[in-house]
Amino acid sequence: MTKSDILTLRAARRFNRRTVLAAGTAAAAAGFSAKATGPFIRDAKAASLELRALMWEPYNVKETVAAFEAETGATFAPTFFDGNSEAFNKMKAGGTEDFDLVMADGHWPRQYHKQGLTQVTDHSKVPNLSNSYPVFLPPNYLLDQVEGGTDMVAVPNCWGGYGVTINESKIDPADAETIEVLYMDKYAGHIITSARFEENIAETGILVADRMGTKEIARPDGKPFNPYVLTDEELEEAKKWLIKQKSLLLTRYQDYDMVDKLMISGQAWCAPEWALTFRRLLAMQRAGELDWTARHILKPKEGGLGWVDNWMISSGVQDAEKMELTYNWINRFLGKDNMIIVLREEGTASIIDVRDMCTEVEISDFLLNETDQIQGLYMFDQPSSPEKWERVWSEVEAA
Amino acid sequence: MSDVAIGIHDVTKRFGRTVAVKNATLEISQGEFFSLLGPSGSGKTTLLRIIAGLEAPDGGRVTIAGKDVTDLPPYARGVGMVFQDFLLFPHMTVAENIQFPLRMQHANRATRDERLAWIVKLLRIDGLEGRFPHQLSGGQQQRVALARGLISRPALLLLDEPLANLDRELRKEMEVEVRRYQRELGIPFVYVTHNQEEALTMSDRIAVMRAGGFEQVAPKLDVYIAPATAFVASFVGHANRLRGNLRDGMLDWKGHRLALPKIEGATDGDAIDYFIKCEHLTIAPAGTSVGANLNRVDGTIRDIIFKGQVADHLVVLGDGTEIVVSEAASLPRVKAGDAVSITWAPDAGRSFRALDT
Amino acid sequence: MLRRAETRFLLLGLPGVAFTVLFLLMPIVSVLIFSFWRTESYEIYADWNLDNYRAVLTNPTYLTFLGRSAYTALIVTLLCLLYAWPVAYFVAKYGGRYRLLLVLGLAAPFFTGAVLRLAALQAIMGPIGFINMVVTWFGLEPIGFIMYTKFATGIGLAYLYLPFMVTAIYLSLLNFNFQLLNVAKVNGARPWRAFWAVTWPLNWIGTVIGVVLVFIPCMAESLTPRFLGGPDGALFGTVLGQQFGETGTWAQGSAMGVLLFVVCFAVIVGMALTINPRRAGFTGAGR
Repeated sequence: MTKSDILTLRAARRFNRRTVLAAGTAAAAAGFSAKATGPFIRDAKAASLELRALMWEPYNVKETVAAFEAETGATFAPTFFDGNSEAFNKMKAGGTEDFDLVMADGHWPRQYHKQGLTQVTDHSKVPNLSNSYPVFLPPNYLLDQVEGGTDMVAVPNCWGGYGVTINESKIDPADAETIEVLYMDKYAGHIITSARFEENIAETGILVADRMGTKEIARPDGKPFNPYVLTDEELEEAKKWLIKQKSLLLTRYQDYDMVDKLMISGQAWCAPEWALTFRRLLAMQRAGELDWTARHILKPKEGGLGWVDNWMISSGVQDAEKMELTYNWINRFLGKDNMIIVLREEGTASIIDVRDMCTEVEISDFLLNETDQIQGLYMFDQPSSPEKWERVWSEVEAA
Repeated sequence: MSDVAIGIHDVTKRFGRTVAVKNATLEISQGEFFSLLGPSGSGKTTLLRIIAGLEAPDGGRVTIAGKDVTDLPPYARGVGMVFQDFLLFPHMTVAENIQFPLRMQHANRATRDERLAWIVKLLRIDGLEGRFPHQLSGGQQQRVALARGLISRPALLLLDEPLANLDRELRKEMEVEVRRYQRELGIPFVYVTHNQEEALTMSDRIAVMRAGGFEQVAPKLDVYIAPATAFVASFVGHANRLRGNLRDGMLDWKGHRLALPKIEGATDGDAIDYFIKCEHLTIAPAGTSVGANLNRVDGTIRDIIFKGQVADHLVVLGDGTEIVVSEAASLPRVKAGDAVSITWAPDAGRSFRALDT
Repeated sequence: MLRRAETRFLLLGLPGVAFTVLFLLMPIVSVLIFSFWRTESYEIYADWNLDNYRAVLTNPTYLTFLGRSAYTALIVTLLCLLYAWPVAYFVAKYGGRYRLLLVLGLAAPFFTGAVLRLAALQAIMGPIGFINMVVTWFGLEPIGFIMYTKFATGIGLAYLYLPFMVTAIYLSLLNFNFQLLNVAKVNGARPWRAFWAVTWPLNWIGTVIGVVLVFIPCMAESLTPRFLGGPDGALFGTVLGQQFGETGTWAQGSAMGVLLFVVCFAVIVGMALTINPRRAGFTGAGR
């Protein structure tokens, strides 16, 4: 079965995005050959006036594409991917010659630039960035900047978190403020989490590092704490917490339908999620269909997970005409007209302030007054060692 | 203790609206070879299955050795049975097939082996014990089936057209053998067949069945010589049926006036079936003088079909009617195309009031 | 120069061979090769090594999953056997002219996709599903232990694979001469004795096929436990899928795949060894 079978909601695609490849051996073979020969990459050099983007599918907004093509006379040619590492592998396998634009989130842009896959971007050529909340730009947000430098390597566009949605009638408000709410005996049988290993381990890692006191002290890699870069001791401790948590879980959810049903029915009382269910609960609440109050804690006191999506320019873009096209697209994408569509159609909040176009409800549901919270969130990243994390996760599941 | 091995008392069996067996009453003696003879659909197999317990009668009782077994399941009746298609267990060797009833009775190994040795010798299938059914010839399979039916020394053996699937030569041989086993074992065999020759060869008594009822139950010679009904007369043996009307105590048949045995209660004008067996007719060249008290018709030989010791002479009468005469084949007095006279003693035939058209 | 017969043979044979090589052999071979390689941070390196097998075979974690899968598959197979035999028997013996329809009806769950089937099962067994609705209707406490447990996985799998078992046994029974049961009964066998002595051995091949058709997919199953099994329900197939999907540890996943292949192959061989062709009841076999 394909991933899209599992995910019925278009907006839920984010849930899926870090998936490296579709399951199955065929996919493994495909991935291998993609790396070796790149058979999926079109030979796009032939067309000169073509903007080739490697991107998440939800951002392929048809109105914006139409406007872009009408104005520039160029063709927008998107290729979609399902996970950061998949896109990363494609770019490494000669993709810089085949794509002009590529998307990534969290820590990934730095990785791309370090590997020479993308080039420095000039934010002054993106006037629409002036509508951005400052929190997504330096000096507040540094992940789009070369590590230790000032060059920008990406242009942010959308953001979100992975907070905890709770049923206020069941969860003590004090408990709701901590990640530990997901590990409390008193809520046994009413906790659900996603089935994804990265976010489960990372979130537990935040809690564990907090308890161990290793979050604020000097890290082995000399960088600030990153829940995706855990020490072996932290991983070991996280494993213990995750094993203990198993007996408290109602289940791990596979799709948003499951979160919706379990939360709405009152079977599940708290769930870390991308706030999609939370927004539906709010809508029900307003319609009087819910006799309890839902709350979403984006950032528990130990810290929370979040992500910022970016556009990056491939290092293969050299001529001025093409460069102009890339900036045209990026700027257009950051336009309010586009961003309000992304918000409404895809259920994703923008880094551009579109509150003047939004209803009160949208402002509240999409936390448009609380974007500052992104600052305290730990950005999505790739596990420092997928191999180690895999082992931890398997051991948790086998316990 | 009575000599009655099997008692069937007023047994009736219906399948939907069809009455397969109706009010059958019958007693079969110890040591008797008894045949149920009839065309297909006459209820003979159903009656056999009722005795075996494979069908439950709608009414009536069945007794075996004086014991009412009507409500007993087949496995509690202690009968042996041989089926038409042999129905050997294909996954078992010959020895396992034969020993199956003993195993079901939890007989010990010594007994099983002893009985097996006895029965394979009796049936002359020793040496085949290790083979599987599909490795056997039809005749061998039939013997194995018989051995399986007999090994537990059942109170009686039921045989459902066991020879129907054998070729003619083998069948002739098996007829004799089956009869021999029955004599040696001294238990009653109830033998279902539609083949009158088989029944006549082997049986002590025959019940001729038709439409679920008995037409005649009698020693086989009686059935042959003195059929009780028109149906028996036509079904058993090879007979010519002459249908006519009674006129002044004689049969008026296609213009011939024939003498015939007296029929109780028949009056002038009644339709009469007069059966005369082929072998009771005599053929002579036309013009040969015949006795005054013999019936006589004239015709022409159309063909002579050689059948070994006898030959069927097909004689066509003036109006085209055909009469079959069985005569010794060794007497080439006549040949095809010859004009001949057929004669017979009126008492050799049996006459009945015609039942239907 | 090829003779015409040879040309025709090649023309007829080539597509099949090509298909087999392309879609059956290639993936198996590539998995075999990957299993001796190494991954690091979503990249695969062709460093030949045995570490993947060492991990999979010595780390109790993966053997736990294998054990769970084998146990689940065994239970599900037994459940299917117990349920399928009477159903197939009934249909084959008494189905009459509706036999075909009844058997096709058993395949009804397959008319929908896997996801819909799982959704239906969730709707029945879930915390707010049909069963609990009925239970609460009668004023009882909702049953919590059904959904998101290994029990639910078992039910889900049995539901999923039952048609295979029924069909295999049904097809076998179609060729079974029920008259043999009368023979057994007349010869002194009580109904159950007759079943074990005659019906069971003569339909053993069909039963074995059913067992294999249920057991093997259950061993490899990943979707059902993910949706129904709850936090403790991860099976070998689930984890195997994760290696290729989420964690990107393809090399280790390949080693797991090879292990699964070997185990399944052994099961098939083991089941085949229980068949004695001479005693299978097929005339012409084992001469």
